[in-house]
Amino acid sequence: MTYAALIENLQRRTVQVLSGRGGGSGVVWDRGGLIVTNAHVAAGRYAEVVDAAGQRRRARIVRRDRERDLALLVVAAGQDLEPAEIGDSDRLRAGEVVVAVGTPGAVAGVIHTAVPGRKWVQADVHLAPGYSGGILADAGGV
Amino acid sequence: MESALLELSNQLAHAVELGEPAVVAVHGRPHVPSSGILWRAGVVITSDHTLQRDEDITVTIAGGGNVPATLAGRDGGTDLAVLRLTGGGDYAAKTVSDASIKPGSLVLALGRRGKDGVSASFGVVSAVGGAWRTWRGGQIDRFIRPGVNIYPGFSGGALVDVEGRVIGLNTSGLTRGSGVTVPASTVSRVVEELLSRGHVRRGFIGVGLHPVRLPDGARGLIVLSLEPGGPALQAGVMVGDVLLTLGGEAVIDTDAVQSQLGAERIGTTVVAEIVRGGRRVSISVVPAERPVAER
Repeated sequence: MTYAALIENLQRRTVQVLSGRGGGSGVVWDRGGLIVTNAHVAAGRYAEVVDAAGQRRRARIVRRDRERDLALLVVAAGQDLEPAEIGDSDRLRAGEVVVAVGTPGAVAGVIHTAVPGRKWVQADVHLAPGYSGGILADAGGV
Repeated sequence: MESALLELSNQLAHAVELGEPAVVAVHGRPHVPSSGILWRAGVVITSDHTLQRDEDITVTIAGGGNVPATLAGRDGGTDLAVLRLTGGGDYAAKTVSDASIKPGSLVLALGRRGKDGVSASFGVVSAVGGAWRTWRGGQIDRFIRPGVNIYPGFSGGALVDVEGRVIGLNTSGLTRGSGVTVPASTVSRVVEELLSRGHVRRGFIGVGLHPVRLPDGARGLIVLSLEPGGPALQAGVMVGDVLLTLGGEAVIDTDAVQSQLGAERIGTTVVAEIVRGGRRVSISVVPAERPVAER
């Protein structure tokens, strides 16, 4: 897979989330139209979700965890959205190449610190506004 | 093509694993520790500006062990400090000649914050140049702008190539903005001096100077003060003399004087060309070693 193909593949599994004042990105989590994003991206009870093809849909915010900065959205007719392949962050190594994919584009970097068992990872990637809620994937696109 | 990106990814992660045993955390300031490099068995180098105390220093080595360390010496000029471990740390960093480093070379900066293992940032070398003198007066054999993020706690850590070999020590203490890498050749030289003497020797002639322009347009440095008993006074230099050249090199700023007074000049004869009362005179000065307290 070329870098461009990898990014295109990941972008199909990423949506733009428009909510209230602003928005960000979201990850398609399963075939049931479940979207994971950041809590600070999804304000209020409803959001609008735009897929890679530009189609707009209404989504309901079903859960929000401000401590972990996570929110769950459900897209009513979202069965056609392709879910992301979910990896195991415990297997990451420092220095491994990762790409952050969001609705403005994609940016590459490496894993900064990897501590197995910890509930977050740090990456040496320059994020721009809009990437919040998007995917961090390894070189295999997982 | 599937493998190209994965291969690069695996190679970079492997480079981190190879460089990891040489990278330590140095606990010598409040809050965030700085990083250091296990230069040879029992000897750690770190950046001088992040080592804020001379005692109660500990070092976290690969594997997570904490080892007490003593300060062998510091050199503010090159922003290096050398520590001796009181046990453990039986490893020597594998270094690579900085001659192989070019703008665009892929590199990783490695740091360690404590027991969490090693941290990495990635980039390409953005600039490479010849020898330069830091604002703190130290001579560095090669200019390397690493082009990677020097995160808080990364000063004193290693810049490694894609095979995990140490190119030099990263520091944010010598330049504004992004950091620089002190090459392995300079580190080795300073380590030897600090281990044998506790400080880096520098030449000294004992003059206070200020830049001036003479009526004929020539530029030089006017002598404002003379150190009592110093080499310049002993050689017959007087207040009001204008220094034009030292060791055959024109001196229009004090940096130029410093670069003529390296350790190799101590005890040798250096000719100073001077304008005194409108006439040019030559005076031979024998630089002494700069007293440690005056650095």
